[in-house]
Amino acid sequence: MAINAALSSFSFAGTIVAEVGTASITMDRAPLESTPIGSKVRTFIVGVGNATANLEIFYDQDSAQHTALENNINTGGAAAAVILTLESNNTYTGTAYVTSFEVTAQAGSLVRANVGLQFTSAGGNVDILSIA
Amino acid sequence: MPSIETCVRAMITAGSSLSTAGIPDERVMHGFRLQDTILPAVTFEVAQDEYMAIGSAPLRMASVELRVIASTTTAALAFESTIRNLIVTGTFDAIVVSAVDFVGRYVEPPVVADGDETEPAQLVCNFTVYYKD
Repeated sequence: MAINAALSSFSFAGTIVAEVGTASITMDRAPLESTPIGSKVRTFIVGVGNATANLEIFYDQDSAQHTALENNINTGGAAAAVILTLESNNTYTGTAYVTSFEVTAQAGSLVRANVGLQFTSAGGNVDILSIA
Repeated sequence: MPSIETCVRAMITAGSSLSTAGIPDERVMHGFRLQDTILPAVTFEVAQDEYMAIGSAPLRMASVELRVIASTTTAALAFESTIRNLIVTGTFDAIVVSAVDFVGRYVEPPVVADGDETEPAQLVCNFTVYYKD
């Protein structure tokens, strides 16, 4: 069954981020080539997992959640818990740093910020993210 | 029950500046005005209303078209600055308007229609309201 984004939210360091226009998470696991010399067909083994998140927010420096994201990259803060909730019991959970923060003020439009986050292993994790 | 339509009307009639300028609150109407009612008058419509953010209490965007109807172009234009000053952020009819954007305006001059009937001039203002219920 499809999920309406009205039920969705994105939280960083335990606090739901306000005014999120778009929230996305990307997982990738590029395969590692293991083709023997002389082989006529490539072979691969499972690669190293990776995940990133991206947010488009309607930026407001008066919002503590927005400045928490901004300060994470500005001060080189520690990785924090990130949860993308699609709806109740449909979540992606991990630990991430903010790796980019781009604020745009355009005539005739709201001030926006694009925020990039890089997930990092919390230590010994096999899965990239916790999906539940 | 509050709606974006009641919110916009409350915004336009807030204070008494429009009334003082010559358009009492009862002449601010949603949609249309009757042809034989007194001028100047204001009509407005919410042309588009859409979600801007995810979540249960999301930011929403409404495009509003407001028409100041007066007997002459000059009389309609006389309300432009008043209208611009009324389109502001704040709480109107329990709806929080967090940002506004005056997109632009144009003037429809008075024209003579069929027979000797004259249509009044209209100052058409378009603005965008960003709000939360």
